[in-house]
Parts: sequence; C-alpha cells; structure tokens
Amino acid sequence: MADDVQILQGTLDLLVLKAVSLGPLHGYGVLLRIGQISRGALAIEQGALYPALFRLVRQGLLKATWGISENNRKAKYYELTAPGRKRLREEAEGWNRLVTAIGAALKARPEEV
Amino acid sequence: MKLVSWVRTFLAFVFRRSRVEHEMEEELRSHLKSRADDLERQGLPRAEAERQARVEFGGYERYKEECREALGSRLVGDLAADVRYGLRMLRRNPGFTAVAVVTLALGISVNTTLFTAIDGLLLRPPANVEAPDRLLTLYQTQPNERGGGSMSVWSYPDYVYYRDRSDAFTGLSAYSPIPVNLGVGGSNDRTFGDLVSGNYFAVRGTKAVLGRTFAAEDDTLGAPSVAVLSYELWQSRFGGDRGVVGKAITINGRLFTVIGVAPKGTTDIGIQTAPAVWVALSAQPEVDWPPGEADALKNRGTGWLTVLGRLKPGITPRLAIAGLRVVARGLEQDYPAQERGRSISVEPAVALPSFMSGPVTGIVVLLGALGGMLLLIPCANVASLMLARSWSRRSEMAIRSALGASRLRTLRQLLTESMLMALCSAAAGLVLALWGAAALPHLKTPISLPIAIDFRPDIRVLGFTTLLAFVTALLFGTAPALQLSRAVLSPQLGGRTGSDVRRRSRAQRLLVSAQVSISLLLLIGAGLCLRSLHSAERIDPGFETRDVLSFAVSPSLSGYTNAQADVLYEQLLERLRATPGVRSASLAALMPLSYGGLEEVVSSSGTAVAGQRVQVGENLVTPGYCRTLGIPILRGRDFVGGVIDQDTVVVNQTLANRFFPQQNPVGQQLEVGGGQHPRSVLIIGVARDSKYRTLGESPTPFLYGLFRPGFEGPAGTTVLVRTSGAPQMLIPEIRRQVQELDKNLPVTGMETMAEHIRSALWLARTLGAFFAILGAAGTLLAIVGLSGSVAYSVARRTNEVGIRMALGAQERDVLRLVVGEGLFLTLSGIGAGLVLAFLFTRFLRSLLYGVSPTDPLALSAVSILFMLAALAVCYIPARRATKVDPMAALRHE
Repeated sequence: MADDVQILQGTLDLLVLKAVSLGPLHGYGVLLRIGQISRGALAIEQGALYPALFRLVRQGLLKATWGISENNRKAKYYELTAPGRKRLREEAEGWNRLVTAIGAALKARPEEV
Repeated sequence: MKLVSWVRTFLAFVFRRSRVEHEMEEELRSHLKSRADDLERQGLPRAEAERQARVEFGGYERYKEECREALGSRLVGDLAADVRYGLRMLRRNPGFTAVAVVTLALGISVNTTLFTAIDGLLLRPPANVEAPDRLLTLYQTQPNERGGGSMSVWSYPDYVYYRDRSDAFTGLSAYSPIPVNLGVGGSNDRTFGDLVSGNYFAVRGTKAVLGRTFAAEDDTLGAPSVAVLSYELWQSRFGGDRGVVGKAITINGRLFTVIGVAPKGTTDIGIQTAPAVWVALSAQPEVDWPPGEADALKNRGTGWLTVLGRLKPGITPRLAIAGLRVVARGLEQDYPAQERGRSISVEPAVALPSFMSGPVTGIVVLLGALGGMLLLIPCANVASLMLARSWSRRSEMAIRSALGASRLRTLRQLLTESMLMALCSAAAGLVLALWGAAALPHLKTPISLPIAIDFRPDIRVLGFTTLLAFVTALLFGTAPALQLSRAVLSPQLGGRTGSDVRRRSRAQRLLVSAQVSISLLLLIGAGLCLRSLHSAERIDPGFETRDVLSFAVSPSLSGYTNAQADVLYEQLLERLRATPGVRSASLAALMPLSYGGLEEVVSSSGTAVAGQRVQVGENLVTPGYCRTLGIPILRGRDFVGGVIDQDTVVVNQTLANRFFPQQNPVGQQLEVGGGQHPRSVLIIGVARDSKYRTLGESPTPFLYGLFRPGFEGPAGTTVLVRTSGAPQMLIPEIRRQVQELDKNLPVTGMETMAEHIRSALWLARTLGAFFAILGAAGTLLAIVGLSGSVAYSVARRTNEVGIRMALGAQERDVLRLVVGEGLFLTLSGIGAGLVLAFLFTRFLRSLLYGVSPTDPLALSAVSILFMLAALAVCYIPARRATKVDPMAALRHE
C-alpha cells in the first residue's frame, strides 16, 4: 500500500460528504464508495470512519435512519441534509482553490520568481 | 426538594445512553458482518473472513470511544462508567468499604450534628416572621465610667416617646419576657410568657392560626385582660380544641380570656425563647412584672422592655438611626433629669445582640475546630487504608495506562470511587446525625429558660452534609489517587521500584503523624478540662457548701400580695427553724453561683474616692443569711431585722477596701442607685469575700441589702437551710412544711449546695466529657493507624531484616530498628500536637478554673500516655520481626 495517500485531517469529512451526496449509504457502503471514487488510492483504517460519521450527524450535516442492507442486514443509512449539501459545496470549492494554488506553486520555475 | 424530577432526569439519561450505546454497537457489528460477507464472497472461509474484517477495522474499543466523544456523551458517559466501576470496586472489598464508610460516617455525623445545632441556634431565621431582615432592635445607650456606652433595656414612657415620633418605621413595638404561673382548668404550671405592645404581632408580621392576635385597643389601660396562646400550649393543654377562643385561663393569679393562637414555633426574635403565652403590656400591673414595680408603665426610671421596629420600605438602617438620634436629643431636652447623656443604637433583630456575639462566636469557632479535627482523623485513617491497599491496585493502574488512559482520566476514576464512598458515608452520617440532633434538646442546661431551637435537620443541613461529603472525598482521596496514578508511570507492569515504596510509605507516615497530633490535641483538651474540674472543686467559694439545702418559692405568682408574702415568709422561716435537723434558715433574692445577679451603682461622698461610681453586685437577704452559708462577718454586725436595719447594708471586703482603704467602713455612708435620687445607706458590717456569680470570678465589690418581699427573682425567692446532718434527708420534711403552709405554693429547684456547685461547673464538665470521648476515639484510630503502618513496614522489610540477621544483627537491634520507626512517627506527631496545643488551647481559657491553657502537667501526662501506648503497639510487630528466619526472609522475594 505504498502509494496510499495518507488521509489529511479534515479531508475524511469531505470525502464522506461527497460519498453520501451520491445517494444514501450505510457505514460500510460509505467506505466502499470512497474506495471506488478515489480509485482505491485513499485507504483508511475502517473503524476511523465511524467517529467521522457520528461527528457529521451531530453537526447536522448528515441524517441517519435505520434500514435493511442489500444483503439483508439491519444497517444505519446516512444521507445528506441541506446544510450538509451546502457544506460539501463550500468545502469542495475551498479544496479546489487550495489544490490549484498549491499546484501552481509547485509548478513555479526560477524565471517566474 | 425536587428529588423526584432529578431522579427522572437521571434515569432518562441512563436509559437514553444505554440505547445510544446499543445502537452504536449494532452499527459497528453490522459493518464487521458486511465486510466479512464480502471477504467470504472473495473466497475466504467464514472464520478467517471475520478475523480479517476485525483486523481491517482497527481498534474496536478505541473507535467506539472516539464515537462517544464525537457524540459528546463522553464526559457524562465516563462519569456513569466510573460510577459503575467504582461501585463494583467497593462491592469487591466489602470489609475495606465497611471500615472506611463507618469511620467517615462518624466524622460526618459529628459535623452534621454540630452544624444542625449552630444552624438552629444562630443561622436559622425565626419562624413566622415576615421579612426578618427589615426588623431592627433598638437599644438605649448610656455613657459608662470607662468612657464607652452600655446598652440598656427601655422604660415604657421612653418607648412611647420614640414610638410616637419615629417616621422611619412602620411601627415600633416593645416586649418583655415574664415568668408566668399559668392556670388552665385548675392545674398550675411555671412557664414563661411575653408582655407585648398592642402592635407587636403586626410589627413582626405574625398572624394567628386561630382567633386573632392583639390590636391597639387591647393594649389600653382598662381594656379587658386578654391573652394569645402559643400553638404548643394550645396543643398540650387544650388538645388543639378549636373552641379555645373565649375560654378563661389564669396568669399569675389573674383571669385572662383567650383571643387567639399563634402559629407553631413562634419564638422571640434574637434570642429564640419560646413564650407559652402573650399578654398585652397594659396588663403589666396584673401580672406583677417587673417585680415590685407596680408603676412600671409610668416610671421613666424602670428599664424592662426590648424595642423592635420594622423599617419602612426604602429606608436604610443608617437613615433610621439618623432620625432616631434626633428623637433622642428631643427626649434629652424634655427630660434632662432622667435622660442626660442617653443616646440610641440599632442592631439587626435577627442577629444575636452584640454583647452576646463575642462569647458565642468563640464557642462556635471552638466547635467548628473540633468538628474539623473529627473529620480530619477519619479522613487520614481512610487515606492511610487506601494507601496500604493501593499496592494491590498498581497493576490495574498500569494496565489502564497501557490501554491509553491518561493520568487525568485515572485520577478521575479514583476520585469518583472516593466520592462514592464519601456519599455512602454521608448518608450513614446523616442518619446518625438525625439521632444526635434528636438527643440535642434533651441536654440539660443550667439555665431554665425555654429556649426553643428547631433542631430538625432541613434542606440546609442536607446541603451541608453533601458539601461535607465532597470535601471529605477530596481530603482522603487525593493523596492515594495521586500516588496510584503515579504508579502508572512505572516502567513495567506490576513491577515495583524503591522510590515508589519510599514515596508511598512517606505519605502514610505523614498521615499517621497527623493523626497522632490531632488526637493528642483532643486529649490535651480533655486533660485540661479534667485538671480544671479538679481545681474547681478546690476553689474556695467563700462559704461552707456542706450541709446546705436550697429551694425556691414564688408567692407572688400564686396571687400573694406583698403583705401576705411577708407573713408567709415569716411563718415559713419559723417552721423551718423549728424543724429538727435544721440549724438555720434564711431567704435570699438570688441563689448564689447562678451566673446572673443584681447590680447597683454605688458612690460615696465622704471618702478619698468621692464621686467615683462603681458597679457592684448585690443580693437581698434576711438576717442570718451569712450564718446559714457560713460567711464570717469580719467587722460590725449582720442584719438583725426590724426598724434598726432600715437603710443599712453589709458590704464585702473588696467593696470596703475600694471605698474605705485605711478606714473602718462600719458606720460610713454609701449612695446607692444610679438615678437622680440615690439612696443613702449605712454600712453596718463587713462580710468576708466569697464567690457570687461563678466560681471562676475574681473578687468583686458586693453588698447585701435587707430582703423585702415584693422582690422576687425570675426563679422565685431562694430559701437556704443549713442542716446538722445530710441535707437530702430533710427534703421530704421541708416539702411537707411548705405544703402545710399553703398547698398551692409550688416548691421549685430543691437541691443541695454541693449539687448546685456541680451544676455551676456544667459547661466545663460537658466540654471535658466531649473532649475525652473524642480524644479517646481519635487516639484509638491513631493507634490503629500507627500499628498498621509499623506492621506494613515490617512486612515490607522482611528481607532487609533477614539480611541484617544473617549478617549478625541481634534481636535487640531488630527491635530497635522497628520500634524506633514507630517511635519516630509518634514523637513527630506529639511534637506537632504540642505546637497545635500551644496555638489553640488558649481559646479554652475562659472555661478553665485555675489551670493555664498550657498546663505542663496536662500536656506532659497526655504526651507520656500516648508514648506508652505507641510503644506497646510497636512492640508486637517488632517481636514478630525478630522471629524472622533469615533464610526464609532472603527467599521472600
């Protein structure tokens, strides 16, 4: 797992919001979705997901309801709330700005300084 | 108490929490199963898939904890977990828990009882009074010879003058406690009542529970004689009969009609005495109080009233006093003869009068200090026990820390355990205190006033006890918790290091020393009281206390006029003197050594100290008083009775020396009385000094006047009888004699002089017993702590002792080693205790008769006693240490 990107503090929340924004998911589903949309590049210890989920619920960004999973297990489903959607948009913009800025900075050559 | 709602909230929290926990568990398990399902689908066997799922998940408990934190339920959740765990720990060591709880409960109960008493005496506002903080007590002040001002009670005309001129108050009321001979349905009782102004109940804001209280019309001369009953009297004598209004009772021989009943627990304000009955001031001549002052309502010179005022809304006491000073100046101008120099002061009515607050504060501080010590000793003991036990919990703590518990977290857990223990103790202590408080009102005091103190513990007491529990937990829990939580830093699980052992034993030894010093202090207190009692018994009261009997009669309360009483006294003395076994009998207005007394201002114009006014004690006696008590007449003669004794006095040596140094006082004149017209009296004799009010007093100037009927002290007229044999034998005969004279005349307070003097030492004896009990308990606890500490140290040093013995140490050396350690602890404790004694015993000074607060005998005797006890206790483990088999000891670890 050498090419795994160490997940940055705070980006986990963003990824969770993004994963859930594509449709309601249970915890394990969120994990799979993150693996899928990041093409397996982002690996986290699975348990670490849950404190993040609980924190987001408490902040009112996610909403949790009990349901039945695809393989017939009782599971808690998470979906985005309106504030959650707004937060995702803001965080995504912020992230993009940061990436652009850092990317530009890293491409800087001596003659541009 | 909102206990019910509190319990409901708590339960809701616990249940809600358990539901959240349950859901969290379910969710995480569901995750593991789903992952295992996937892995199984990829071809792993089920068991291997589940294992793999767990590995991928990471630290299950850790993430659960993080989830709780994310939910915000962590802090309260921790508390609940700590409480559960703490209860489990306490249950697992029932012996330890029981000893600790009982020890602490004793300390807490003593403190709760003390608080209940102090609360009831001083802190609790009087019952059935509206806005008591707006009530002021007014005092007239009189410049005294020392340049200060003495506060005094009021005459009726002065009270009326102020009442009609003070705009700062909604009303000024006056009252005076009076002794009452109360007749209900033919049976008579001695009790106390209040004479009150018509607006008294209105000013207090006390409303009748039945009928009505006084109105202004009830307090006018010629108004029908009416009375308000106390709730307690209504219940005990009328069985709570609602038809009591309109019934007749007799008060001091006169008929009164009941108009109402005051609410339960109504007392005077300030000193909370509980009157049985209230009578309007206009009835003063009928109830005959103050004694011999039939004109008290007209006489500006007779002070007998306490004045109570309620401030108008928005008026501050400062504003009120300014207005009152103006009235005082007006009064001085209108009646310059009687009122010169008089001014006025006010004090909050609910507080103790300032002249009493000094001694009372002293006693409260003393009791508080004692209570504090009694809390410290059990705390020290329990802390010591916990330290000893902490050894066995070290590995538990190490595991906790290895699992990631921070030191703070561990500390919190340990303190929660202490808190639980303290709360259990507080509950047990509260139960004990309830018993104690129930016993308080039964304590016999030498004062016969019905001081009604509500000793029932209330919400404040509950609050105090809870607070105490928290303080206790911090006191005994902190040191062991710090010690234990430090253990988690030790390098290996269950390992021990030398420095830990040293630190642990140092804390324990400090505690043992502290206990020794506190117990020693208590024992020194007991020793001082004992010495004081011993020397008090040798104090010469100045008269012969053997073979004297005393009792009191109150003819005026049985309806006698002065002339009738005169005849009665004459007949009584005649009968007594004719009784076989009686050598002499006489009357006195006051019983000597009863704390209180009469006072007169005396001056003399014809001497070197002309113009000097001296406050002197006084008693009124019949001829033969000095002979009855065995007080020698040094010069001149005793009273003989009749016209020849008109306006004469017998003085004591101190007074004679004060006014007539180098002169023969017999035949000299004295001016007696403070007012404008002092009486001139002739000195006919000088009696030897004796003790008049208390055994501890220093020689005071004193004079005897001739007894006259019409003066009756609050306890009645004292009859003193000197007998030729054991005075107790004559008690039935004397009672019979009085009964034959008048079967309706109650005989009260029959006792021998020896008994009376013992009751004069009541306070010192009670306090001594108190110290002795506490000191003994404290010593026992300290000795147990000491023996525990030494035994522990012996056990710890088994291999050291073995090595020493293997290297040739003798039994004697080992004994010295072990006993030496115990003795060192004791000695340092004794040293600290002696220092404390030097600091604190001075507060006992006023209670000690002829003993210095640092009496060397008491101090050294107690210290040596303690030393011997410590030696005995250390010797046993030391003997055991010498029996150590060196080989076994070396293999010990």
